[in-house]
Parts: sequence; structure tokens; C-alpha cells
Amino acid sequence: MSKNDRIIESLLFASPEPLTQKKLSNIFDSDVPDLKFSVERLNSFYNKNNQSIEIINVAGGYQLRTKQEFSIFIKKLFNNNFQNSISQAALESLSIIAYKQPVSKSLLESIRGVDCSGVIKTLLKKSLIQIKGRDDGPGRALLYSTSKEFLISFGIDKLSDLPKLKEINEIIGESNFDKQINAFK
Amino acid sequence: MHNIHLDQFEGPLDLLLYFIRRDEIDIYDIPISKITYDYFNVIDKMNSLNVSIAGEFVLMAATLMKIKSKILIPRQELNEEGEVIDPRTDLVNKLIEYQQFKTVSEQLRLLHDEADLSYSRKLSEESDYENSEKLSPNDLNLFNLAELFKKAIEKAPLIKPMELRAEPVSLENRKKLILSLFDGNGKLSFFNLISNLKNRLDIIISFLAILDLIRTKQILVFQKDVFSDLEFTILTIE
Repeated sequence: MSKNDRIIESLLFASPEPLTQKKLSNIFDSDVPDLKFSVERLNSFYNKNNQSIEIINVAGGYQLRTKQEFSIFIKKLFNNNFQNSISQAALESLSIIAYKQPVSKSLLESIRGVDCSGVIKTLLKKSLIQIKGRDDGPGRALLYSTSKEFLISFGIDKLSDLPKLKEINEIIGESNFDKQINAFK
Repeated sequence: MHNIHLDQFEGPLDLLLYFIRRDEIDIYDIPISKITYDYFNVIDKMNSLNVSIAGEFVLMAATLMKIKSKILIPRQELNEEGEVIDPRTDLVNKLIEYQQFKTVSEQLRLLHDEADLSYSRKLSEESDYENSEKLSPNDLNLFNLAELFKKAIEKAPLIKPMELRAEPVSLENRKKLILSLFDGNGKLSFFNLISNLKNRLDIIISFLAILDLIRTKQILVFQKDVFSDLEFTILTIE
């Protein structure tokens, strides 16, 4: 490991949010190392030495995380309070916002067919969504989009990494097709 | 009859999708009669259990009735191209769209559960760490400005309103009390007087009373040395 790799390791350890190449350029005065390559070297070092941590690519940056196999111990460390439970309503709303952003409350409600005031409040409080602006239409409704925290909580690097809606259409389409065939039998 | 609890469903669309899955119904050819019957059964059951039913379930009941009545009426509505509009189309599109996002949300749950198994350092409330990717004026919009303002307000020290209350003791009463404390020789020690006083207000009001008694020449005050006890002598009241 080079000295720069070790510096980056310390930054990853200390940083409360994913470390980005951009941030690195604020830290190194000259000869800014390439974060991606350092992360690769660090990860292969961790693997070779059977370490309990790994660096993952999330929300456009890199984050040091414990390996999943240790979660049962860490849960005990936090008295099982660590897990962020998330309701079905919140997940449904999040997926609609993630794919259709920016989204107004009324669009969200028309897709889900239920009132969404409460769930929007919860998602805002958990910082999973943010207010992006206002609709130009009548009433100038607030528009919501997903946040960086959403990417971090779901281990997603960027929004385009979400499964494509088209792919999902195909999945649904196929299962429907199967059903129709079954109906003919 | 299946045992169905309304709170298991995220809403009326979810309930309808349940019927569709359960009875393996083709979503493009929903038997409105049957599904409306099932739907009302559930609603009735909830009503008989005195469970208050959310407005959206009632709205869906009305929508189902409307579709059913449109099917019954022989006069068909045509679209611009002269094709017959299936009264179920809107509902079907809604169901498909909702089903799509329900599927996505199941995938999101998997991602969330997976991400939840590994742990990272979290930003603590008191941390000085700031998002050093500074906002340029171009990026700044009304909403992140409002957010920053809210944060600043939350961090601002709380100013407690000051309450002014009427004093529980009056100067006149205190003067009378002090005069009644003089011994048979008309003497009173200041140290003795304040040793019986409980709080600051008591001390202040007593001190004011004494000053006032001196001013109106009702008592005299002597002090032997600096910082020594004060001795009051009552002047004869005519």
C-alpha cells in the first residue's frame, strides 16, 4: 500500500458520508490520487488479509462498511436499535418518487390511491426525500425527489442503477402472459 | 370466505390486486361484477366490525359501481378513432401502474435489507462535519435556503420568555414585621434578622424596608466596625 492509499483509508474511516474524488481534490494540494484505484487496492488488501471491513461504492462515492456477516454482532452492540425499519407505504412512495421524480403529492396519491401526507412527512424526516421545487401548474404544488441519503440507505451508487421500469414491465408482462396460457389449459 | 383485514392492504388498489392474484384473474379482463361483489363483502364486514373505513376505500367502491353501471348501459362510449372504450380501462391502467411500483418497492426492500446488514460511520448530531461541497449561488434554490434557515433556527439558543409577576411580599408588611421583631429594649441585630430569611427576594425586601424605616426616621442604625453587625434601635413612637 502506498502512502496515498493509507491516507485515503484514514479518510474513509473518518468520513461520515461517502468520500468522493471531488472531496479528495480539496484535501490533496497537488498530485491528487485516483480514489477508485486506491479503493480497489484497499479492497483487495482487505480480502487477502480476511479483514472484516470493505469499501463499497454508494451515492457517487465510497464508504467503509463492515462486512455483512458481522451484522448480528453489531446489532447487539446497538441493542438491536440500529436497523432502520421501513414501512410498505414508505417503500411504495419511495419507488414512485425515485422513478418519477420530481413528483407532486397529488401524483403520488393518484398512483397509490391513498392519502400520502403522513408518509411524505416521514420520508422528509428521515431525509430520504427532499423538496426539489414547485410545480408550474395550478396550486404550485411542492415537488419531491429522492435524496443522497436514499442512495446511501439503499446501497445504490446512482439513480440510473435502479432496475429499469421497462425491465419490470417485461417481468409483469411475462407473468401475465403465463397466466393467460394457464387459463387456456 | 377468506379472512381479510383491511389494514393488511396499502389501499383499495392493493386490495383489488389481491383479488386479482387470488383468483388468477386476467388484469385486462376483470370480471367487474365478481370483483365488486368481493370488494363490498370486505367493506361490509369491516362496517359490521365497526371499523372506520378510510375514504379511499369508499371512493373505490363508488368507482366500481360506476364502471358496472356503464357496462350495463347498452350505449357505448367511443374514442376519437371510433373504437369502443372499455369502461374498465382507467382502472386497469391504474392497477398496472400501481402493480409496477409495488414490484419495484419489493426490490427496494431487498436492497434496503441488504444495505442494512453492513454498517458505516454515521454523522452524529453534534459533529462539526459540514458538507464542504459548498453550494454555489447557481445551485442554491429557495428550498435548500429554507432548509438551511430551518437548521439555523433549530440551532439558535432558545430564548425563554421572562415572566413578570406581582411580588408576594409588600414593603409595608415587611416594615411592620421588622418593627415587631425588635426586643423589649428596642434593639434588633441585622445578622439575626437576615439569618431567618430564606431567599434572595426576602433579603432584598427586608433591606429595602430597613432603608425606608431609616429614611422615615423610625429606626436608627449603628455599626461598630466595617463589616460588623448592624444594630438597629427603634425610635419611640409618639
